[in-house]
Amino acid sequence: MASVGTGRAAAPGRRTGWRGIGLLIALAVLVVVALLSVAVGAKPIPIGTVLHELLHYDGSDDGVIIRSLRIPRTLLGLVVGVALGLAGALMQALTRNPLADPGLLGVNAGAAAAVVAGIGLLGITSPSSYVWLALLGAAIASVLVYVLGSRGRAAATPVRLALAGVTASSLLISLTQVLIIFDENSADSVLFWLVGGVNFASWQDIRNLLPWLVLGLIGAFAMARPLNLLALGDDMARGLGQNVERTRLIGSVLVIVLCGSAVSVAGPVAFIGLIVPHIMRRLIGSSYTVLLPLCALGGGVLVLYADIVSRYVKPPFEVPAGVVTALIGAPIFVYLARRQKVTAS
Amino acid sequence: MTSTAIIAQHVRRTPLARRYPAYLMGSLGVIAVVLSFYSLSVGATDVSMSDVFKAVIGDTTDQAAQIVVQFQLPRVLLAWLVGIALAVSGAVMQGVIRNPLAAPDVIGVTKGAGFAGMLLLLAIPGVSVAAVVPAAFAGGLAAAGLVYVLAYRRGSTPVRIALVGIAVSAAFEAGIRFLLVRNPLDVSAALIWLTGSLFGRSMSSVFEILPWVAVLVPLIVIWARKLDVLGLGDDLALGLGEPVEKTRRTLLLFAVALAAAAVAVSGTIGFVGLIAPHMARRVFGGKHMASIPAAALFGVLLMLIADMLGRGLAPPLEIPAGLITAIVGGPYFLYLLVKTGK
Amino acid sequence: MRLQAESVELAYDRAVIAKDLTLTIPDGKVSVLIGPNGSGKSTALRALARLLPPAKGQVILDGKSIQDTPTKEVARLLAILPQVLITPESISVEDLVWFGRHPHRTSLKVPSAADKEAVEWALTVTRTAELRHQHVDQLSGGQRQRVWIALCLAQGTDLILLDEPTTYLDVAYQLEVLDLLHQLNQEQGKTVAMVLHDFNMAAEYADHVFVMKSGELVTQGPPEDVFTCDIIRDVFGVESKVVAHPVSGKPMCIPLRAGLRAQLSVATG
Repeated sequence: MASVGTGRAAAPGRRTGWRGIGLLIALAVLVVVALLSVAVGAKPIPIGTVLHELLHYDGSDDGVIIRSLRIPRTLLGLVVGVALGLAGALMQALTRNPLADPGLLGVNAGAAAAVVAGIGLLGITSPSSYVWLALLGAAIASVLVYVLGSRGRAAATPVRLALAGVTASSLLISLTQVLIIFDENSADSVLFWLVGGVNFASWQDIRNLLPWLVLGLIGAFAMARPLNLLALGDDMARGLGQNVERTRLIGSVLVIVLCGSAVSVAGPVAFIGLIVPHIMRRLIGSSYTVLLPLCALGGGVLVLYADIVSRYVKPPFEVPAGVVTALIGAPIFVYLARRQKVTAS
Repeated sequence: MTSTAIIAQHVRRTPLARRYPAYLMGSLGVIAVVLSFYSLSVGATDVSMSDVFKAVIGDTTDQAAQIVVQFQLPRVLLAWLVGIALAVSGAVMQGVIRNPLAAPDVIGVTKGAGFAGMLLLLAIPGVSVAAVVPAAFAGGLAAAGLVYVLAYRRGSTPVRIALVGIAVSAAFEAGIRFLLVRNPLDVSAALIWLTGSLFGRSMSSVFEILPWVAVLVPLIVIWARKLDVLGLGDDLALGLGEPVEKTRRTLLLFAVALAAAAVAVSGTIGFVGLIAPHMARRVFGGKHMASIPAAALFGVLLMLIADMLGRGLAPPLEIPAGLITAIVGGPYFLYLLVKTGK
Repeated sequence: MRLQAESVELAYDRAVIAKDLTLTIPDGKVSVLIGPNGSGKSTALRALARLLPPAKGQVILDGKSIQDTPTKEVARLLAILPQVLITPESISVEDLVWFGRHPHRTSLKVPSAADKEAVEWALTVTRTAELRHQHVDQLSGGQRQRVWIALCLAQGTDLILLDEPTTYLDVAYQLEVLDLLHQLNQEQGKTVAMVLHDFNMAAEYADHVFVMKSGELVTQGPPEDVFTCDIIRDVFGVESKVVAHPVSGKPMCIPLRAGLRAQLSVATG
């Protein structure tokens, strides 16, 4: 059976000082990026004005832009990034596969396909219903990929899971593409459901997403210790008294909740779940008690960063942030795939 | 157990197909030919079988026969060639990578070709479809070359090829999406080309893919045993005197060329390269001498059926064949996997 | 001597496994490489079988550098049974053994009389002929290993190298396989070189033993010379008592557990 390196083992308690600092740094970076996200755009607004408007809203032009466009967009980017970063960390823990990512394994594609199918075939129009469709789609895709990847007797090695994910994704993406073509939507919405972005954010989106995110967050952080145990191997974890099946089930549900809700408001933004956990693991090791919050913060930073960059791709037009995350993420994915150490074929 | 009992058990256990592969393959071939004729007669305007025969023989005095020759014949011929190319390409890749989920769609070729084709289409608006073909072909080859180079670290392992292939595919997909984003006006047309279909193809497309199929497929069949040996594992294959790295590289090159040619003329039609080899192996067994020609036949059948369904389901609307293969192929593939537990 | 490694340096990527290693495989005998995990014994065997090109030095087969000889030609002179074996699905014993003729066949040739003869002989000698139509994945461990050996025999080589051929087998099947190899050496004159994990099996069956530790050849020779308390202690890190096998007379190393070591030092003074 193949064995894959997933980084240094969890070392509880040893470097608590560093971790606290790490979290604070991440938080600080997040704040900076968030402010930038509010300031930058088709009409650049100086940071001073931004801060002023945040504190006392005075109805000026800049204030309106900030309140109705920039802040929702920034908040949504943050929230989506948190969800996807956490989902990625969870997936990698549950599958013990460093190449697991909601986009690569078809979960996001499933969510998007379900929503598009709902809109195109069932005529569903209220965005709050999108979430339910997305959850359903994400769930189906996860089951599909798991079945494809496990194939009966053999356990899911990284290659098998990756190939299964790609197969499932391409099927779901083809479906999405076709539904979009036949529905003759505007190019913008086409891209939204294929690429993902937060450039159409509204306060309503945030309201729709928030309860799910809070649910996902609480659940994820509660999973930190069980995930640490799971990393030792199923048998070892059982031996230490953990209910492995229940952990996997809850973890999978959390992934579906986080991804499904994120995709329903922002489309299938790619690679966040792959890159952020890898970077964080490199920085602070694999203890999930620290890794999870850092992945959440890191996800937020990355999506906001991508969204900021996307404003420069084709100014003054809006480009979905998903394009930028894909362009950043793909080379990193190639690098990770090359590095994969597999001891048996 | 007496030896006669063992042989009897062996005979009982071996499905009909493995004992008489030639007959079964011949039957499949006949079915394919019959379907082809049927497909020639169906279309925007139905044509009678006698007109089809006339057209095939070369008697084009009738207008109906002319329609057949000009519009339907290229499609059907293309269905044959693209089906064979994709199926054989998939069979070779699955044998080389030693994984039944490997396919040209997955290892970079399809997305590389798609990216290159789109780049040309969008960079030079109004460029003819004919010019896109060599660009897409080159893109497919380049993407596969990139995958091989990146996967090579003192030799390539099947696992690394697969993983890097997926990653490079993802990279080109990102590139495609970037192109789409920068040129939103052409999104629908681009997506349609990407989805892949046989719509509106002329005989020139047939001649573009024909040499690749005619040369490479027989070569691959001659090398069928090498694929079997590779399946034993790199060490044993080397021990049996097979220069593993060279053979793998050459076979992959053949597979990539076939897939790139197919994508270049018909867009990215998915799942044929994945399913046809699967069906072939299930029916005819794992020996490539049998499973490769069988895969080719199944590929042809899949393409013919997809094309016919695309034209016949909602006339005069034409659903791209690539879509049919995705919608039908995906779930069928899942069914296959679950059923055999393999 | 037909096969030898001359001052080879063996490495995987950056990790150097062995430096300046010289090993000569004695013709017509059964040689065994033993050593603890990480000693480089499997690596050395793979280098001898040309599966691992040496970073420095060369492996010589019949007077020529093995890396410079076309691999098909090598396959006609030397057979290797690697440790990791992938059994293709639903393949019959006979079909698997036929792979052994691959080095003798070109793509377009049909099987020759010589091919058929070689396969039949391989099946007969390994007593797998009666299993020929069964699927390999349904055989017992010992039977399956005999089938793989039949594949190597079908290659028709005088030199056979095996990497841990008995490691995952029940003891009955271990003896089955080793007895077969012994018979091939005695009756057919095959040169057998293998890596074994169990040093007592090595003592029982080997004519010549190579003892390796940390990539170096610590000592070599017939079992009587090689299996001493000092060498076992030095290489494997255990105290042992070496006695003569009550039936065969070959050396037997009995590792001593903690309590017994004290008794031994008292007894020997």
